[in-house]
Amino acid sequence: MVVQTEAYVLLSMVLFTLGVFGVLLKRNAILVFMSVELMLNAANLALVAFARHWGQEGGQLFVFFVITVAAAEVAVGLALIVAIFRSKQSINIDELHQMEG
Amino acid sequence: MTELVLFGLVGLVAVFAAVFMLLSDNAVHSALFLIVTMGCIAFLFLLLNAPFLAMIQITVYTGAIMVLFLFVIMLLGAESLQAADSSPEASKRFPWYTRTAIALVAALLLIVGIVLGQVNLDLQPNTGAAPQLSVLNAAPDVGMVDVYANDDLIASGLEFGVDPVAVTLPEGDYTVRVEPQNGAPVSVDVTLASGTDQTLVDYGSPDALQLSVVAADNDTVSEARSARLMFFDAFPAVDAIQVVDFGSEFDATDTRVIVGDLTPGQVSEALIWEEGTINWSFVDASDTTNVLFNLNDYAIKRERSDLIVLTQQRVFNGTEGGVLRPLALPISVEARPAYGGPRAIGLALFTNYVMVFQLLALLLLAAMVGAIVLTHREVKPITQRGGRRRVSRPLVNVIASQVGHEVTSEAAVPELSESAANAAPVGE
Repeated sequence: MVVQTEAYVLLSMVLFTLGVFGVLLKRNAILVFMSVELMLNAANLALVAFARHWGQEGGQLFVFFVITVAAAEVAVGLALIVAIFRSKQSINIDELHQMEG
Repeated sequence: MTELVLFGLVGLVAVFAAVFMLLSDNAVHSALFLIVTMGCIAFLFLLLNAPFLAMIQITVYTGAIMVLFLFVIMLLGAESLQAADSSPEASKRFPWYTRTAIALVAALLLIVGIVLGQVNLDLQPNTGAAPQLSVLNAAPDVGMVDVYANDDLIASGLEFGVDPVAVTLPEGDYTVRVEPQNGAPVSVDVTLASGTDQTLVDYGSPDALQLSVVAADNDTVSEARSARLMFFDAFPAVDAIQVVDFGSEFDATDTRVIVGDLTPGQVSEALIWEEGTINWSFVDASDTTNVLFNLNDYAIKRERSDLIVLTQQRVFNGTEGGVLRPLALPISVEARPAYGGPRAIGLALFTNYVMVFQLLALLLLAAMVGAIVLTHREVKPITQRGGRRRVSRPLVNVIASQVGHEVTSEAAVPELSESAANAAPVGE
C-alpha cells in the first residue's frame, strides 16, 4: 500500500512547526540556524511528496536547488556568526541589539 | 502495508528527534539530533521514489552542512549557551516572548489544519510520468493523415514514414481517430495509463486502412546495456513473415529464425537484445527464399526501444503509377530514465533548468566569497630582525606578556613565578 501524499504533507507540517518553534524560542544563534534548516527540510519533504503526487520531476529539481541554496546560506550564516562572536564574544541573540532604534 | 509501517516509524523518529533537538541543553546534542531527523527525511525520500535526492540529502545535508555546524559549535565553544533560554535575564527583557511564539505557532498549525481539512487534494498518488502517444503513418497511398484523440486534433499532416513525435496526454481512455487525405477514417480505442507509451501504426491501402496499437509501454528496458526490439507486420501482400538471421554468407547452415510467423497486423514479442549491429532479413514465411527486405547493419543502441515496422512503399520506377516495394520503418524511442533517478534528474537539470543551475552556481560563488570576506582577519606581517634567535613569534608574545618585557634570547627568559605559570593561557 502506498502512503498517501496527505501523510507526508502532515509530517512536513509538524516538522516545519517544530522548526518555527526553534527559531522563535531559541536564544543561541546556531540553534536558530539549525531550526531554519529543519524548516527547509520540512519544505523539501512536502516538495518531494507533491512531485510524486503529480508524477513530475520539477518538485525534485526544486529540492535540489533548495539544498544548494541551503548550503550557500549555511556558509554565509556561520561566517556571520563567527564574525559576531569575534566582536561580541557571544552568540546569544538577545545581546545582539546594537541596531535597536 | 509495509510502506505505511515504515513511514509511521521513520516519521515518528524524525519528529521525536526534532523535538529533542529543541529540548536538549547541549548544542552538540542538538546538532546530532538534527542529523537523525535529516537521515529520516532521506529515508522518506527513498519511499517517495527520489533515490537521487536521498543520496544528496545524506551527503550534502547530513554530511557537509551538519559537519560545518558541529565545527562552528566546537570552534566557538557554544555548546552550553542553551542555558540563556531560561535565564531570568532573558525573560526580563522579553516578557511576552515565549507566549507570543507559542501563540504564533498555534495559529500556524490552526491555519494549515483548516486548509488541509478544507482542500480536497484528490490524493491518489500517481508515480509515473504522463503517458505519451505517438502515431506512425505507414500506409503508402493515403497521403498525409490527421490524428484526433477524443475529437481533439493532436497531430496533423503526418507524412508517410516520418519518425513519430510523441504527444503527452493526460491519463484516461481515448478514441484515437486517423483521418487520411485519401480514404475513410479509422479509429481505435486506447487506454493511456501513467508511465506508459503507446504507439499506433496505420497501414494498408486507402480502401482498407487499418490502425493498430503496437507497442504498449515501450519505454521500459529491463536490462541495462540492451535494447528492446519489436517487429510489426504491416505488409498485407504475404500471409505471414519471418525475421531471419541468415548468418554469414559463407555458411548457410547457421540460419536462425529470430521471429516466427507474423501475420499482418500482428506484433511480435519483445526481444531484449544486446547493443551492436544486426543483419537480419524479413522473409516470406511460406517461402523463406523470398527475401522481402534486408536490415543491413542496423545499429541497436542501449537503453532504447526499437519498433521495426515492415510495410510497403510506393516507388515510381517509370511504370504507370509505380510499384509497391517492401520497406522496414524503424522507430527508435529512448527509454525514459527511471523517475527520480540520477539520470532523470540530470536530464531535467541540463535541459529545462540549465539557467537556474547557472544562477545557483553564481550564488554559491558569491556565498564562498562572502564567507571569506566575513571571516577574514587582517594579519600584520611579522618582520624578522636579523641576528636574533628565532623563537616563534606567538610564543615570544606569550612570554613577553607574562614577564612584562620583550624576550630576545633564551637566557633572558626568567623563571616564571607560580602565579604566572598557573595563569590561564592567553586567548581564553
